[in-house]
Amino acid sequence: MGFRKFCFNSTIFRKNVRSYWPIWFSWLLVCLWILPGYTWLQIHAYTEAGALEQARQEAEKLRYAVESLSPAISPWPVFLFGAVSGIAVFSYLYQSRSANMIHALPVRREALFLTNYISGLLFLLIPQFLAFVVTVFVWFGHGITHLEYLLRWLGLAAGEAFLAYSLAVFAAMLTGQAAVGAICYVALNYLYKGVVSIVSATMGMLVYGMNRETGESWGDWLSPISFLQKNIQLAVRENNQEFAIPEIQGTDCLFWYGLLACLLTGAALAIYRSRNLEAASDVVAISWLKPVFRWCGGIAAGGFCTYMVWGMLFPDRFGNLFRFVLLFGSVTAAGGFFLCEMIIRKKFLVFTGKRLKECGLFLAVLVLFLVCVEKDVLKLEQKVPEEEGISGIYLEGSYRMYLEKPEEIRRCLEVHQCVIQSRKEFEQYFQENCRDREKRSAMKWSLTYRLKNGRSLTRSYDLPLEDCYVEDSEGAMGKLFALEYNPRKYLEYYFSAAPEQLKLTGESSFHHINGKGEYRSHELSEEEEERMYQALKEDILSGNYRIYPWEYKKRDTENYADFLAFSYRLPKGTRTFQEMGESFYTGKYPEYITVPLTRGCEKTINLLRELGILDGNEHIMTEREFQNIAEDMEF
Amino acid sequence: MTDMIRVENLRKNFGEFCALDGVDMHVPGGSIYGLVGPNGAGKTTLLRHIMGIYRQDEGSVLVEGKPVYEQPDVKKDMILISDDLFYFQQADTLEMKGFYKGIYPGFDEKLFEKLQEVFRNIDVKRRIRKLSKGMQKQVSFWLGLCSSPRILILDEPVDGLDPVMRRQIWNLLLAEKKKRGMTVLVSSHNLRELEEVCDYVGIMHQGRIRMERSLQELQGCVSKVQTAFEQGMPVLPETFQVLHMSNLGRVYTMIVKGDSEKARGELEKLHPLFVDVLPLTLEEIFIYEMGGADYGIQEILL
Repeated sequence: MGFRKFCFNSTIFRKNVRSYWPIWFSWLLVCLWILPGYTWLQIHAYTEAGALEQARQEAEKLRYAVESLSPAISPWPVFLFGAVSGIAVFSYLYQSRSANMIHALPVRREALFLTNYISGLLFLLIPQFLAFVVTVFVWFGHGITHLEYLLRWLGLAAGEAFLAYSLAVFAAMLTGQAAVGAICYVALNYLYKGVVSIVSATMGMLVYGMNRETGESWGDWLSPISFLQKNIQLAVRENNQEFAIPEIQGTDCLFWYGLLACLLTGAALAIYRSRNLEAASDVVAISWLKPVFRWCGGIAAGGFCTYMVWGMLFPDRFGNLFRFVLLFGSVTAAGGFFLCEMIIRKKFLVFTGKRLKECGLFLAVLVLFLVCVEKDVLKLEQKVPEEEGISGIYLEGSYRMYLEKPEEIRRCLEVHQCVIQSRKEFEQYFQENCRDREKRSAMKWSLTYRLKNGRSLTRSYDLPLEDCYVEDSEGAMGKLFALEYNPRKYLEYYFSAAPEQLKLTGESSFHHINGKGEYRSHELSEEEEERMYQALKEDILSGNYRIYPWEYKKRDTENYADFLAFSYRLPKGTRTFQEMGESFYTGKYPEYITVPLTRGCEKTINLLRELGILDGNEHIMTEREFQNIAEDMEF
Repeated sequence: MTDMIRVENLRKNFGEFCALDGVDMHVPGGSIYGLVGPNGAGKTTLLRHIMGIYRQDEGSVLVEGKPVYEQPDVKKDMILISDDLFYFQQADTLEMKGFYKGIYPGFDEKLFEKLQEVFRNIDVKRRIRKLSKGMQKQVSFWLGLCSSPRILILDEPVDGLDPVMRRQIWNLLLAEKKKRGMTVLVSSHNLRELEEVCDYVGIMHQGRIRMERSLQELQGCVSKVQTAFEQGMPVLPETFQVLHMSNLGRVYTMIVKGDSEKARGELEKLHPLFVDVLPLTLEEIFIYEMGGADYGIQEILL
């Protein structure tokens, strides 16, 4: 048997082209709109400025043309049509009549699979190629000859189409219903994110110090749509060219996605070869996947419902709720388990002895897992990195800072150990005060260890702000306050890790609230700005300035309602602390910060009076006084 | 005559349900083999295995000594016309002809044109799904015959066809069989029709072939005997196998297994008023055989 006969059947290919023309024709229209159509409109809208020199005008036109590729690099359309195409060409598997007719033909399954696979893939690729060709003409028509941008787009689009289509075909093989195939495709796209979210939420609910929210992780690429959406961008490369033209960036992942698509195709073929045709119209077409579906459904239902109910019933509750998680998680997981069984068998009465036993086993495994997590079998709660292995620690508490010096790292590790040892004490405090939000005050303290091996470790704690804890210099809170009291770090928090290299932009201001609650702002002149900055810097470095946590009662009486606002520029890449999470100055826009005045800002306040920005006898209100006025006015 | 289709110990389970429980079947080449059995006996499942659609759990399905499953060289000579017809969404007869022509190397275009006379009521440019069920069935016969199969497998083939078209189709099949030595395996509940055309019959029940004989043998091994005695029915000899007995006054009607002449001889020894041996229809054989297999007609008063 020849290879061609073995793997390709031209009659079936022609049948596919005729039967599914609405799909490829619609996709062609979409491609023509998002690429040549949109590009034409954008370039057409560009008006040449006569004053600009020729080279500059050409560069501007090219920039317009390249920026017009932005709708075409979005992964959504190709993933949508990939799913439609993949499920359509294999739709004969979803009805016993069509499945029987097609498989009664003298064509091997390999040939059926590959012919249908190639048909569907070509439905995606040919319209993309045609759109590319038309766009080439549009660009040439406007005198743009830089085809490398379009070729890069073609490579990107083809790679995305290959991945999306292969994933859709793989999803189509797992089920016997078209709608379930589509759901399965979406689920596979977000499987990794879902699993990580459930694990993180469970860990966050049971393990002291673990965050319930999921951050970025190495495996994010396993959820392709969101990964491509986030990483493939049109951006200007920083190479100090005179005319900056954006480029399609983030395409490195396509090689790995190509390999993944090949693997998915191979797996889909293997499943197709072993597939029983009597599975047509079954929700799960592969018999060994049925228990996997039940167990995964149970875990997803348990994790999701528990986390949602936790969030709704105990939004302000800190600490451990093991019994709630165990009980509610088990009940909802069992519900999810039987719901999946009902979907598989398409009936409600599925509580057979065999299935009840399986559910019992499932719950036993689930409970064992939760108990192991609660008992910290993996020692995650106690885990603190070795001092020698740490390159830096990013902290978010009363304010944000980054520690790099060995002495600072050592002190931080000591505080962290103290917090871990105080777990029971703190949890008890929150359990006793969980219902009285007025009485209870707390702060969140997060640490991210940057390790020398390139990894990181993040922990997050809810800590009590009662005086008895804060004033105990040997206790965890006392040590944390001592660690946070660092004038140099205060300065860095407001003015970046390199305040010496900061350049004020002349757009700074002072904001005052008088005794009647009236608001007034004063734009600072360049000279005033510079002097205010120096005075504030001296106040901060003198050690009189302090930043207290939001809910700490001393903050109300130490902080004034008045504040200074500064705008400045920094060398690109300088670490800044005003945004949540680690951030670095990009160089695009100036940084804009506000600094609340405190009782420790003596020099700054004196200077404000000296410059006449603040009247000599004008009272500056504390935050407490301002809150009282605000409450009275509202009343 | 060598077996064109041989099925040995074929087993198939759908989950926990046993659909085929060790089927053995032999279809001689060039014959018409009728597969009969009650609803749910497993006939359609068996035919789908023979067509290589389903993969068996156990056993073998051989066509001319070769396995069928995933063997295009074997399947290219086989056509299945099922009760559950499928045509592509927008396809008309001409488009389906093009498809069959591309798939079956022996497709006979001249025969297609010739048969247009027979199927002249069918508009070849009309979407097949828009045609009536009977017309759709005619299209499947038309295309199936033109594909020049050596084995034609029919599952409830003439359901939905009018009597004239039924006769027409059977005539076509018989002519093709005669002309090309085509083997026909047909599953049907219309036993009177099968009786007219079949050379061999297999009776299937509960996933197994319970009896497989030539029609002649089958009719020879069961007979209907009518007799009457002066003093009521005497005790019959132990060798006398009665499948069913009923009486109207002194006249007894019996369905007797075994040679009919031997049965007549045995009865005559008991001095009856008269003995009459009547021919048995396939339908009667089926009903009485299935009665022996706990599938008899229940006397229910409503």
